[in-house]
Parts: sequence; C-alpha cells; structure tokens
Amino acid sequence: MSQLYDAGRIDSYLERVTEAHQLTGAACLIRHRGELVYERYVGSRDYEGLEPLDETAIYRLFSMTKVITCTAALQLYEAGRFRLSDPVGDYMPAWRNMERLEIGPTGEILRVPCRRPVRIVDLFTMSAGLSYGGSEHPIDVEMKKAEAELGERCGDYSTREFADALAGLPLYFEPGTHWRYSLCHDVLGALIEEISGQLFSDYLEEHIFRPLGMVDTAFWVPVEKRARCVALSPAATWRKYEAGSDLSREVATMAGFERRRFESGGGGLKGTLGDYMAFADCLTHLGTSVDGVRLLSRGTVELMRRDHLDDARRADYSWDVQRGYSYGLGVRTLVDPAAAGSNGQPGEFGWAGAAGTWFMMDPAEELTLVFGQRRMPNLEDQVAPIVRTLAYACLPD
Amino acid sequence: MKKAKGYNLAAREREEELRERAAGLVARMTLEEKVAQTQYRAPAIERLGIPAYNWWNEALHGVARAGTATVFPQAISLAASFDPDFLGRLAAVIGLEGRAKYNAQSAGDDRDIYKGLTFWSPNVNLFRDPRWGRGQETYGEDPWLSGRLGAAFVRGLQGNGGDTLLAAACAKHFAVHSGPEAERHAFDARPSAYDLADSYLPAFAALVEAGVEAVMGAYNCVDGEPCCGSGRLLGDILRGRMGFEGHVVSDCGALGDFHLYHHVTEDAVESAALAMNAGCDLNCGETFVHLTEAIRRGLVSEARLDEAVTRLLLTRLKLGILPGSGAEEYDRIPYEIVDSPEHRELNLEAARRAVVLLKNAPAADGRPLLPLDRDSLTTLAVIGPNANSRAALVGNYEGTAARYQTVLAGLQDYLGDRVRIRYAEGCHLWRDRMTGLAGRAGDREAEAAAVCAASDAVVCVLGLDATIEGEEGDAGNEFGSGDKTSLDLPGRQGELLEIALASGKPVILILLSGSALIVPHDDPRLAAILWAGYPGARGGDAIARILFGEAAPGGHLPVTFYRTTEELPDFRDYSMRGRTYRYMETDALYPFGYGLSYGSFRFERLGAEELRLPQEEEELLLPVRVTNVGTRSGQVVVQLYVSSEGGKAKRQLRGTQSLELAPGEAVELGFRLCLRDFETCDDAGRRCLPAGPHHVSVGAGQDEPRTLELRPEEPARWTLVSG
Repeated sequence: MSQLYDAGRIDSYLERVTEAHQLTGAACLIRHRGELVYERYVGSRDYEGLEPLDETAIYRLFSMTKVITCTAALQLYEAGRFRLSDPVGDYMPAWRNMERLEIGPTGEILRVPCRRPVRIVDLFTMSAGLSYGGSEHPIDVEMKKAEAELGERCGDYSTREFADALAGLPLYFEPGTHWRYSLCHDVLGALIEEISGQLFSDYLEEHIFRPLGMVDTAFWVPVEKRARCVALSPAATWRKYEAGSDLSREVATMAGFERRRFESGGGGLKGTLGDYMAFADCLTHLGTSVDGVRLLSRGTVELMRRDHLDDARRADYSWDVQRGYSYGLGVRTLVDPAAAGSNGQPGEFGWAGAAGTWFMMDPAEELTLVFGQRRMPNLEDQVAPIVRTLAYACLPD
Repeated sequence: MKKAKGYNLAAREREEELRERAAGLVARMTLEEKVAQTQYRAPAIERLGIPAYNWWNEALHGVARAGTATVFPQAISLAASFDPDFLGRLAAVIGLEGRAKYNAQSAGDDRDIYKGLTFWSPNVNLFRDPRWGRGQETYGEDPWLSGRLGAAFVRGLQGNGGDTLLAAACAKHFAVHSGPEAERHAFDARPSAYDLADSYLPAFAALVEAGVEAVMGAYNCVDGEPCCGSGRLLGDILRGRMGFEGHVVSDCGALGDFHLYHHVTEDAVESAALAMNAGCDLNCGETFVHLTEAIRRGLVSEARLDEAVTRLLLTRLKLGILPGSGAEEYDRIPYEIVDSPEHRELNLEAARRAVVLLKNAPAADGRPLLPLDRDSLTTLAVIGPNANSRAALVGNYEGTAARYQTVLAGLQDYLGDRVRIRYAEGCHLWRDRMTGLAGRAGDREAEAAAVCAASDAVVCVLGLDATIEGEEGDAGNEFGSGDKTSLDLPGRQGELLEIALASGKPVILILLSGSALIVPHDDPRLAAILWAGYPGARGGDAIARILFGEAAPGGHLPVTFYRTTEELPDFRDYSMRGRTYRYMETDALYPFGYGLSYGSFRFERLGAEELRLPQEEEELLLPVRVTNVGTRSGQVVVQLYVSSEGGKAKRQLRGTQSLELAPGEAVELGFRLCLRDFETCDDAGRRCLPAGPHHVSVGAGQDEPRTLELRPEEPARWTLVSG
C-alpha cells in the first residue's frame, strides 16, 4: 500500500495556485507504484464559477495529444511497419521532393530543394522543418493562405488533406538540422492513417483508448457531454482579454469540442484527467499497465524517452521550462536534474497542453502525475516545477 | 386584367413568372452547383449563363465599404429625424448610388465582396440598452419608430415597387439581437413572450409588410435555438405569421456557431442541415459547403435545397442582374450620380435633422446662447478629441466620403477670416494622454486651457467613435468588444470639459456618439448642449450653420439619455422591464423624443377632448393646430403618443410629423389612428386591446414631467373610451 508523505502540501498548493493565478480551478492526480494515491479537484469548471470541478471534467488536452500520437506511431514502428529513418514521402507521395526556404543576401525569398528527405524520425523529434504558423514570416503567411484555400476547397478538410497541403509549403530549414515546435505530430497522425489503413481516431480508439478504458477521450465531445467540458478562467486568457473584459467569456467558454474531419495529432484530443492518467501510468510502467494492458514494449518506451537531440537542436530546445531536459520521440526527457532544479530522477518524461494541462512520468520511482489548470496560455514555467517538486517530496521513504 | 399586387414588385404576375424562371434554372443544376449557390460567394455557372455573384454588400447609411459614396449620418442619427418620408428619399439615393457603382464595377467584371446589389441593411434591432456598441446602427429604442423608418428605408432602397428592384434590402438581425457583443456567438437571449411580440418583432413585421427582399438571422440563440437554425423563428413566425416571401441569409459565420459555441450540433454537417431545414437559404460563411454531405447523409432533402436556390435566383431575377432579365432603366444609371451635388445637398439636410439641441440656457443678455451672433465674436475656441475627427462623423458600416467636414472644418469654412478659430485637441478619445512618452496624464490640458482663455466662446466636441463603440471584432480597448461598460465620457474628456467650463467663457458642448452619454446638464456654467450622433460627411457644415442660426436643429432623441449607468438593468437580461421610455422607472436625464427647437410651439386640440375608440376598420382623425409662438424659425417633430391605463408600457409613440414654421406661422395637422394603434400583447404574445381609458397626446415630445420641465410646451390631449 503506497501512501504519500504529507500530501497536505499539495492540497494547499492547489488552493494557493487557484487563487494566486486566478485559475479558478485546478486538479492533480498522482499514481505511485500503480496505485492512485492522490486525486483532488479544486474550484470550478465553468466560466461563471458555478459548477464544481470533479473527475467528470473534460479538458482540452491540446499538446498532451502529442504523446498519444507518438505512442500510436511507435506501436506501428515496433510492429515492423516502418523504419524511423524512412522518408515520409515513401508513404505519403506529397512529401517527396520537399523544398525549403532560404532568404537571399538582399532579403529575397528563395525556395531551394532540400538535400535530404523528411524522415519519419524528424516528425517525432520536431525536426522536419515545419512551423506552427501565426507569425509574419513568409512561410507562415503562405501557410495561413494554404489553410484558407484548403478550407474553401474542402470545407471541413481531413487529417490527410491537411498533411498533404502542408507538404506543398517550403520548410523552414533543412530536415533534421533544427528543433522547432510545430505541426510535425499532425503529419504523424496522417501517417498513422496511411500505414494502418484506419481513420486516425479509429486507430486510437482500437489500440489505445478502448484497451485502457479511456471512455471520455476523443477528438470531439458529443453534445450530451458538452456540459462537462472545462472552460478557461475568465481572467486568465491571452493578455488581450485580461482585466475581466467581457471578451474573455466567449473565448473561454469557446469552441473546439465539435466533430471535425481533421483529427489533430498535435493537439486535438479532449478527455478527463483520469483517462489520461490511465494512459500515462501505462508508459510509466514502460508500456504495460498495472492491469496488464500492453501498449508498447519496454525497449520502445526506453527509445521514446532517450535524448534524441544533437547539440545544434538542443540549442533550439531552449524554453525556460526545458532547462535540464532534452527531447525524445515526442516527449521531454530529464537529462540533468541539477540544471532542471529537479528533486527527481533522470529519465522522467512527459509534456504539457496549451490550456493548462501537464503530466510527468517517472519509471524509476513508478510515479505518474497529471495536473490540470484551466488557463490559456498555461503557466507551465511557473507551476510545473513546483508541482513536480511537491510530487517527489511527498514520496514515501 | 387587373394585376394583383406583388410582394415587392408592382405585380404579382411578374413575380410568379420570375419564380418559374428561377425554378427552371435550378432544375438544370447539379447538386454541387446548387450547394455552391447557397454560399455568399456564389460561383458562375457558365453553362446556364449565370455569372458569379457575391451577396455581401452594405448600405446602412450610404453605400459602404466600396469606395466613394455619399456618406449620410449614421442610422441612429437618421432616426433622430423621426421622419420616414425623408428616410425613404435618402434610401432611394443610396439605391441609385449602389446601382451606379454596380454598373461600373460589373462592367469591369469586378463581382467581389461589396460589389453587388444585395445590401445587408437596415438594422432594425431594438436599441434596448444604451451600452450596446451596435445600437448606433439601429433606429433607436422604439419598436414603432424603428418599423416605420426601416420600412421607408426598404421601400426607397428597393425602388418603391416597380417592375424591377432597384436594390435588395435586408432586415437584420432577426429575431432578437442587441448584445453583449463579446458573447454574441454563444449567447442565448430569453425575452418573455410579451416582449418578443410587443417589442422585438414589430419592426421586422413592418419591414416584411414593406416587402423587404431578405432577412438576416442573428448569431445568438433565442430561447435555446440559434436564430439561423430555428424553425419556430424562421418558419412559424417569419414566413408563417409575418408572410415573408424573400430569402433568409445567415449572419457571417453564424452557422459555424451552432457546433462551435452553441453546442447544439455535433459538427458542421449537422449545422448546415439544421439551418437549411429551419429555412435559412444563404450562408454568409462556409458552413453550407457541407450541404452535399448533409444530403448524402439524408439530413436535408434536395427539394428543400431547390427551394432555397430558387429563392436566391429569384432575388437576382428581380434585380434584373441575370442574363435576359435586364433592368434597362437601372442599367443606364451612370457613375456620375455618385456623390453628386444633389446628393451632397441632401446629406447636408440629413445632418441638420440629425442634430438634437439638448440645452440652450440664457446667456448674460437673457437670450438663449444659441444661435450665436457671428458679428459679436472675434475668437472662438474649438476643442476636444472629436472636434476634428472624421471617424466621429461616420460611425460604423461606412463608405468613403470625397470630403469630410469635421466640426472644426465646418466652422472654419463657415466663419472664414471673420472669426479667429483656435483649435486644441485637448485629450485622447479614451486614453489618459496623447503622447505615450508624456510623464503625466492630461498632457494637452494646459494647451486647451490657454486656448479657452484666449477666446470669446468655447465649442467643446466630445463623445465616442466607432473604434470604441461598435461590433465585436471591429471595436476594442477597455470598453469590451464594442460595448460600453459605462455611460460616462471616456478617458479624460470629463476633465477637458471642466477646463472649458472653468474658463468662464460661454461653452457649447457638442456630443458626437452613437448612443446616450451622461452629461452635466445641471451645471450652470454649461450653456448649450447638442447631441449630433454621427452626423455624416457634412456634419461639421450642418453644425456650424446651426450654431450661427442659418439652419435650425431638426432632431429629437431616438433613445433615452439616462442619469446613471447604475440604474440600468442587467445587460444580459432581455426583459424590457426598466428599459427605454416605455418601461423605465427612473427619471430620464433627457427623455426619448426630446429635443429643443429655435422656435417655440403651441399645440391646440381642435374638437372634443373625449372621443370614442375607433372600431375595427375605422379610422379616427385627431386634428391639432401647431403655432410657432417664438421669435425664430424652428423645426419640430410633432409626436403622438398613446397610453392605456391597462397597458404595461407607460406610453407608445404612434405618430410623427415634421414641421418647420416661421415665427407666428400656424398649421393644422391631422393624425390618424386606428384600433391597432391601441393594441398591445398579452403574456402569451397574442395581440389584445388593453383596458382603457386610453390617453392620447400630441406635442413636441412625450407627455411626462421631465419632458415638460425641459421643454414647457403643453401637448394637446384626448381621452378615448370604448364603446
């Protein structure tokens, strides 16, 4: 029987963080040695602050989708369906003969052929040369245009149509030379469809969600479950909407729960924290859950959490919160606890979601933590290090 | 053969013939072609000779967003005229300019957005709360006046019922829509059945009766159903009860809101189906691209799609813009009429009628301060963030004027070299300083004080513009997404006014805003106040002529000016209780219908005081003599209100007539009333006659204490009893 030591520290932190950052709602789940030793929901889940947050709450997982996508792809990898070094274009022809962008000496924009193809491992490691758009950079401007055209042509475009449209844009850099957080895992979703012959969502349902009993995790939430969805905090959305402006309300209660043909492997899943815990704890136990459900083999999980970056790309991997960590196959992985200021073990791995969800897995300690806020952008760099510290601090001797 | 009157063309027979032609074209289209025609960017079908057409155009107060046009005063300021006939003339001019621009643009094969003849105007939502940013687009807070003005606008814009539509108008946003802007994509408005029938729907019914060609559904839900996906609203009420025969268009992106924000459907395919089945024919947005899939899934019948596309082609046939349906007379309208001298002249008159004189206290000589005597002035201070603002002339949904006469420019033009004008902007519209680098707030106040001190009188031009009150997505800053959080003057405008008042000079406050604001009416240092709304491209010209007595202020308030923000009911509450002159329980700062004149008027009832209520089909004539007993020419809108002792509303406007009378001149007017004018609704929303007795007043405003305190001209009164 595992128990936490002085878990009251986590309680008071949840309450404090809820107040201090106007998160209005925070939750934390911890499993240790396969047992759920901590589960607490503080505050509310709706915009008005009337509905209490509880285990039925459905979060927009955003980028925590990525780890599920990478796990699904690794299942196909360990089934021998592809090599990590295979060119993506071998499976999706639109990805052959890629070009990248080069800015000439007088600022002119050149499209030059890439020297080597985008490989599948580049998609896992955010090294394909893609972007997340949104800037004034010429590629991002083109990307926005391409997305609009796609919407016009197909209306609700599919996962594959989106990935193929991306292939028509120039890359930011020569594949494999940089780490850039981007739409790589969305393309991975399309690749899973191509290789498995299944719709991405059907694949996940059959190979991950159903085996683990993740009944509330999917790319969309049926209307009858919408009341369970977690809104963002009123005073805690993008800066533009701060100061309690009415504008935050619409954004906060917001979209994203409807059914779409594009199933985003990089950020499309919604689900309860409990569901996610089932998934994460399975990886903590190196691919086989304590109930015996096997997602991946031990060696493949080890491969996932190895340091996959070279020096050049580690220089790109430089957000504040990434200090002491490197990047594996779609996960952060702790390489230097001292640099990270972590009281945990090397090899702790995980990721985070844009609207305030965060998780960590530590096979050495058999420790899994899933944390949920309702804030966009999240406060990962402020909150995650403390949550992590508390979890390790509360482990029994 | 006697011809039956059509819905909005002269003859029913022609409408039927065009409908058959439309149906014949639809019968030859593929499913994909039909689906494409239900989207606002309808592609060409060359095989059938159908050119591409973009349905989205705007003409709220002049052809908008499409280059130069006559930019008339904003809708709320047009409403200040209280004059449907005038608005009808003005709308006809907008229609002509729209045609001229359409002819020129389609000759260049430019069929893009804002280039068509389907204008998504007017906005006849009720301005139920002064905080709503888009209230400026409406005709104010009274359902009857909104309906009368909107109907006149529709008839004028559409060519007054000929064989061809001059342009197509659109009544928006059906059925209930008035904020909050920030929540419009997710909001569920819940009016009572009484308020829905008695306050929110009557203007739409009036526009349908006028033959409006299109109706736009709102973003929000009403009673849990999204407006563009409600069979009750679009089917039972609009087409059934009201008899609408045109097409329904969605607000832009509104169908996506079904699955994104209202959470009433699982996906875009279901949203497309819900809207189409409810009776929405045209989608501003992309959701109807999913109709093909919706039909494949069996969610929508192809017959319903055919009906929608037939309606859309019928509109284009009525406009004469499909091959073989030419509108020869309209096709010959030349570009030269755009911004013509005649239209500019009409715009000056529109601006004059937009100006509402709120206060005109006696100056030192015992005469009211206004009009000013040009010869007794040598210097005039013109201060304030709106004094030289173009934005504050035009409001939102605006075109481009060839010339903008701001208040400053108007006064400079009018006074020439005879009076020295000193100008100081004084403060930012809403920020606390003009220069971000300034070390203190109010960084232009010392300049303003110096300008006031060096002048004989001060014109202080304050208010808002459409950058801070307007539509979600367009307007911003701390005021929320277009709505106001307070009725106070924003930023440091209050401080600037205090500087002007402290100068000891006569101060004339001019408010440019699309909604009510709180002003220090009772301050004895403030002699004159005008509310000019957003008075259009010639606003400054009209204001200068009014200040110096060459023209008379012609407007009355289409909205109540409240004393405080705090007394307003919850913005999200769509009950009319406590709102507008019909239901407010507090004392207004300036009541609806109020406005001073340069003249003063006597209203005399001609005939008996006690009369019998008219029977069904009967018309009652109330004769009244109006005399200008003042010393100057003046304009007045004579207003008739009815009130029933058993009615929920305090009183309701039921008649208006605009007069301009010279001193001593008298005129006899007749107001006609029928039984319907006394009717209201019961709690279930059914029409009924409230218990009497019924009171009727005819005067320069409402028959209530605050109006009479501000403007002590007794109205003529009648009492009507049943039987």
